[in-house]
Amino acid sequence: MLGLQSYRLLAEMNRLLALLFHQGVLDEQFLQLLQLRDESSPNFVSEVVNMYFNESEKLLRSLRALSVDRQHWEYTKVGLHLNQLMGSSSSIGANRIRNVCIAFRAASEQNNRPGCLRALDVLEHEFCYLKNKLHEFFLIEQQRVLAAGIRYPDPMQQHPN
Amino acid sequence: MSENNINENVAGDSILVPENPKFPEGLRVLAVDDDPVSLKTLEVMLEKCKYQVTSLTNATEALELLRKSRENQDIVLTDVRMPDMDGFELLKMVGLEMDIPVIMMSVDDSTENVMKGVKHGARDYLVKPVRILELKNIWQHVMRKTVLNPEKSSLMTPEIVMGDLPLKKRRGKDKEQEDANPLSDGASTKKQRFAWTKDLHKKFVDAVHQLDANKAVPKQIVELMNHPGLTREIVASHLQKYRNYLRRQQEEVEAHSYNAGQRGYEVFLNPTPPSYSDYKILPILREANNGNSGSGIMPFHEHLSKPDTLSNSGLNGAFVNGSLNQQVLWSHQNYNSPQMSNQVQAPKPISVLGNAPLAQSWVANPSGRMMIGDYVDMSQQTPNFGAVQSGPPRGFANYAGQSSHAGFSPGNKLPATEQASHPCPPGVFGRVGTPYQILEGASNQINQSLQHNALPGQHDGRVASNVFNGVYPVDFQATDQARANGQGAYMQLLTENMDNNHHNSLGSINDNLSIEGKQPRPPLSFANFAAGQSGKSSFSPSKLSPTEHASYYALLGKKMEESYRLLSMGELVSSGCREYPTDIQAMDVGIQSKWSGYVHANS
Repeated sequence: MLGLQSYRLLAEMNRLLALLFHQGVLDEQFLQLLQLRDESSPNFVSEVVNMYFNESEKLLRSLRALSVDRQHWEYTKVGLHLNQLMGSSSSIGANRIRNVCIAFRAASEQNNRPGCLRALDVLEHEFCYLKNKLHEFFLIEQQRVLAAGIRYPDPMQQHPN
Repeated sequence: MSENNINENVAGDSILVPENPKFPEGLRVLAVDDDPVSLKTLEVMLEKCKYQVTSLTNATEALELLRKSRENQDIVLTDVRMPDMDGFELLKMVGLEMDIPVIMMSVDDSTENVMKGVKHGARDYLVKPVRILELKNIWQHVMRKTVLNPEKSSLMTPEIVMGDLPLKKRRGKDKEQEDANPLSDGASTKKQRFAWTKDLHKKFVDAVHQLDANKAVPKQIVELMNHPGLTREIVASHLQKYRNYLRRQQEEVEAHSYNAGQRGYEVFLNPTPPSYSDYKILPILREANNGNSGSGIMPFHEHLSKPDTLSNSGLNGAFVNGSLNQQVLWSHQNYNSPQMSNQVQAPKPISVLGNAPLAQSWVANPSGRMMIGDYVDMSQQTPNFGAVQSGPPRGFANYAGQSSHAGFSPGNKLPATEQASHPCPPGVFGRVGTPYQILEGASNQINQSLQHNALPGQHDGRVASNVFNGVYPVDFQATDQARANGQGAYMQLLTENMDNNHHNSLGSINDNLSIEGKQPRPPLSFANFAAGQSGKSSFSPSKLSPTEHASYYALLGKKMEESYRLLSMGELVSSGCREYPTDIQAMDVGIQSKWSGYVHANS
C-alpha cells in the first residue's frame, strides 16, 4: 500500500544513513544539514550536495592534473585545492573524505610524493562511493516525498471500477 | 533580550537599549568564502538564526561593498584561505577602515593560524564545519563593541545617564563616556577640555600603530596626526590614559574570566609578540581558575586530556584584542564558554542502532534488501562500480533540474577500482540488462502527475486514483539509457517516458491491486508488486470494510505523520521499524504483522 510504502521508504532512507554513519562516511554535520531543510528551502540539501559534488569533482580533476605530469609539483596549489576540498567536505559532513584530505595534506607537507598519489587515489574512490550512496539516498527521498504527496480518496466516493 | 545593562565595565549608570526589539534577529552579516558549498551552508544556517545575510565568494568584492556602504553590515565572517586575498589581510583592512567585528573561519585549527587570527584582530575564530550553535552567538561580538562605543552603534539607542563619578573610577575608562560628559573629566587639568572624538582617537591609534607602540612618543604622534589644536600635552595625557586603559583591560581579563572589553582598532597597537616575562602571571591565572569551578572554566591541563575541546573551542566567547599578551591567550584557552559546553562535540560515527548491520555485511550484500528496481535479482553481486560506462549517473547532477555536466567517470580515474571492493547495491548505478525486464510493465506506467511532482518538496498531493498503481515513479531503464546517451535532465526522461505510457496509467486505484480475499495479506515486497501486475496479490484498502478502512487510514495517517517527524534513526527503531534485517521478507513480515495488528485492534 502506498502510505505504507512511504513509511518503508523512510525506513530505507534511515537505514542507508545508519549504514553510512556506521562506516564513518558521514557524520553529524550531515544530520544538521537535513535539519536545516524546511518549507522555505525544501531542496536545500540536494542542492548543496549537488554543488558539493560538482565542485569536488573539479578539484579532484585539477589535483589529478597537478599530480600526473610533473616531476616536481606545486604544493601550494595542491594545498589550496585541498583546503577547499576539506572545507566543503566538512560542511557537508563527508567525514571520510575529510580525513583522507588531512592525510593528503600531511603527505604533501612532508613532500611525500607517492603518499600523495596514494591519497589521491583513495580520495577519488571515496568520492565515488559517497556520490553513489548519496544519490541513492536522494532517490529514495524523492520517492518517499512523492508517495507522501498522495492523498487517499474518500472510500465512500470511489469511482466505480 | 531588549535591554543590556553595562554597569560594571564601563560607566556606572549607562543603559543601552537595542533599537531592534527582537535583537539579535536581523543582524546584518557579511559572509565571505571562496568555497560555494561552505558559503551556502553558512548562509542557510545564518538565515536559520534569523540574521540578514549577504554572501560573497570574492574578498575584494567584499571589501568594495564594505567601503561603499559601511553602515549596512554589523559583522563579517570570512574564511582564512582564499585565492585572491588572504583572509587575514581582509581582516586587517576591515578592522582598520571600518570598525566592524570580523570572525575568521577555517577548516584548519592549528594553533599558529588561530594565533595569527588573534594578532590580526579577529573577534573570533571558528573551525569548520561551523555549527549553527556557534553562529547563534556571534551577535555578542557586535554587542560588545557597541557596549564600549555606544555612540557609534547603529543598533543601539544610548540612554546614557551619567552620574557623578569619582576621579579614580573614571581612569582608563572608555573614552566615549568622557566625551559624552566632558565636564567631569578629572584627568585633564585644562580649562578647555579637548574633545577626543572617536575619529580622532582612531587617528591617534593609527599614529601610535605606525610608530610602533612601545616607542610612541607624544611629539611624533602629534606630528603624525596633524590635527589643529592638538598639543603634545594633550596627546601625552591621552596616551597615558590609553595605556592605563589597556593595562586595566588585561587585569580585568585575569580577574573576570569573561569580559575583556575591546576595540577593534586597538588591536593594531601591539603587533609585537608577547614577552616571556608575561608568563609569570600564569600561575595566578590557574589559581583563579581553580577557584572558579562554577563558571565553566576548564583548567588548561584538562584540555590536554581532551584535545578536542582545545581545538574546537574556536576561542569562542570573549575574544581579547591583539594587544593582550600570551597569558591572556592562556586564559582564553582555559575556559569553555557556556555555549561550548552545550555544544555537541563531534561524536564518533554514530552506531545508531544496536542492531545496525555490521560493517562487513554490506560488502556481501550491500543494502541487503532490494533497491528500487532491482527487486528481482538479489543474487547479482557484481560490483557495478567499475563497470559503469559513464560513471555515477549524470542525472544526479540534474537532480535539481540544473543543466547537465560531464559525469565523473570512475572508469577513467580509478583503475584500481575496476573491480571495486565496495560493490554498490546493484540496483542503483549502471545496471545493465536483465533485472529490469520484469520491471517493464510496472515502471512504464508512470503517471502524468509525476512530471509535476518530480522534485522533492515540490509535490502536490493528488488523488490517489490518478497516480499510483503500485509502481514507482522512477524508471531506471530509461535513466540508464539516458546515461548511456549522455543526455541531460533526469526529469526530462521521466516526462518522456510518461508521455509514452500514460495511457496505461489512468484509471482507478484498483488496477493491479485486487486481492482475492482480505486475509491473509501477503508480504508487501517488491517482488509482489511486480507480480501484482497480473493482479495476483497485494492489498487494497478498497476491499476493506468501511470501518476497517477508516481506521486503517487513520492509523496510516498517524503513523506516517509520526514517521515523518522522526529524523533520528534510533527513534525509528523503537517506533516499530524492525532492526534493519538484511532479509527483506522479514522486514515485510514485521511491518505487515504490525499493521494487521493495528487494524484488527481497531476495527
